[in-house]
Amino acid sequence: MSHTPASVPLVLARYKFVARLATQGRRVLELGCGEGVGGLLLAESAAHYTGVDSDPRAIRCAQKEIRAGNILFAASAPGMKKYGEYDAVVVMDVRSDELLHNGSLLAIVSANLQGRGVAVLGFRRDVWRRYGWRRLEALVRGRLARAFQCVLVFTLHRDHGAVAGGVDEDGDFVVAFCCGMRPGEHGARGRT
Amino acid sequence: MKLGPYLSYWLHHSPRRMLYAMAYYSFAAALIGRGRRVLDVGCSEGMGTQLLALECGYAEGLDINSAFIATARRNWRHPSVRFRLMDVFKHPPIGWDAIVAFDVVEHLTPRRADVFLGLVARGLRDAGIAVIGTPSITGQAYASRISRAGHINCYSGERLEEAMREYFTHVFMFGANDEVVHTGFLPMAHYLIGVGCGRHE
Repeated sequence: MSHTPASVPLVLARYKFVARLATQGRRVLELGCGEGVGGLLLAESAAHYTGVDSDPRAIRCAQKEIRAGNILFAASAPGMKKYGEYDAVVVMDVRSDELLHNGSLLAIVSANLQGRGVAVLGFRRDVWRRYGWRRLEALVRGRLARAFQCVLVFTLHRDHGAVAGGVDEDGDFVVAFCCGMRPGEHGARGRT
Repeated sequence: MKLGPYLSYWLHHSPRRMLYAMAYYSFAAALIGRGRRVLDVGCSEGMGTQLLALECGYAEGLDINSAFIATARRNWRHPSVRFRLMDVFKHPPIGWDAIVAFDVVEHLTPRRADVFLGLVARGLRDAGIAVIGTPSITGQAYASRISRAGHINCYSGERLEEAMREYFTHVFMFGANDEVVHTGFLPMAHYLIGVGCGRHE
């Protein structure tokens, strides 16, 4: 999940942030859960948590190390889109704008999200640095707003745990909470 | 610019409160984003409304205190800001992209506060968001005598969330200590900010 011990609190703070705002009492799906450490935080107040990842070794590790009644880890098969129906679908690390532009990520999110659920998409500064925060803001507010009725964007700061509204250029992690999925906008419901 | 008695009192007696209040407005403005029409209910002397107008594109401040509105109109004259002497209970808002209400609900009885939250929800467009800010009940132990006298309905984070969920599908709760907005342990937050969207039909 991280490369240095210093990044451990950083990564966990991101998960805690999402957990506080979006997982309480909900059925939660995390796409790209890795070895599942963040899943513990998401599951803490959730009704149920499912973590999926395309890396079977990471999933095996998660299954071996993390055991709780409301937690399930599963390896995703290529092309697999539907895992169930969830109240919150979380992607903590959106890796490229392509995923948003071509709708493939949103298609998977919407396939698993019940109509009144919330999708949570996270963007790491180290991944998106070259793209630029301002461009990211336009992408998030533009593309995601077409797919969801309401998109709330926040920025987390690295050192002091403060939250800013919108995209803050000094921030470390941008999170979009997407509410009110518009049926058919990404076409996923009909195709999957 | 000549500040009115409210902002002047703040500056002279508690400049920190001005910092905190404007930090919360700043949080709301960035969250709402640009190109939005924002209603600021309980705008007082309008400094926060001006911030919303400049950051979001257009803001209208409402208050039932005529002296506040007169001061706001005198000081803030940007074309994208407007102030009205208006009671939302008599003239419910309609069609806003966002409605902001800082330091309002704690001055209303619980019953009236519920009605107010309903008015806010119905005053939004489908995609609109509400930002409701209020001092937390735990912070009242440290509030001044004057503050406490006016705060007849202070909320815990849990209660504010529950009250907002009556009208919104999604409620995101934040705490604040001084000017720092966070998602830390809500019972120890000095100030609460609830963000609601997806109003119930």
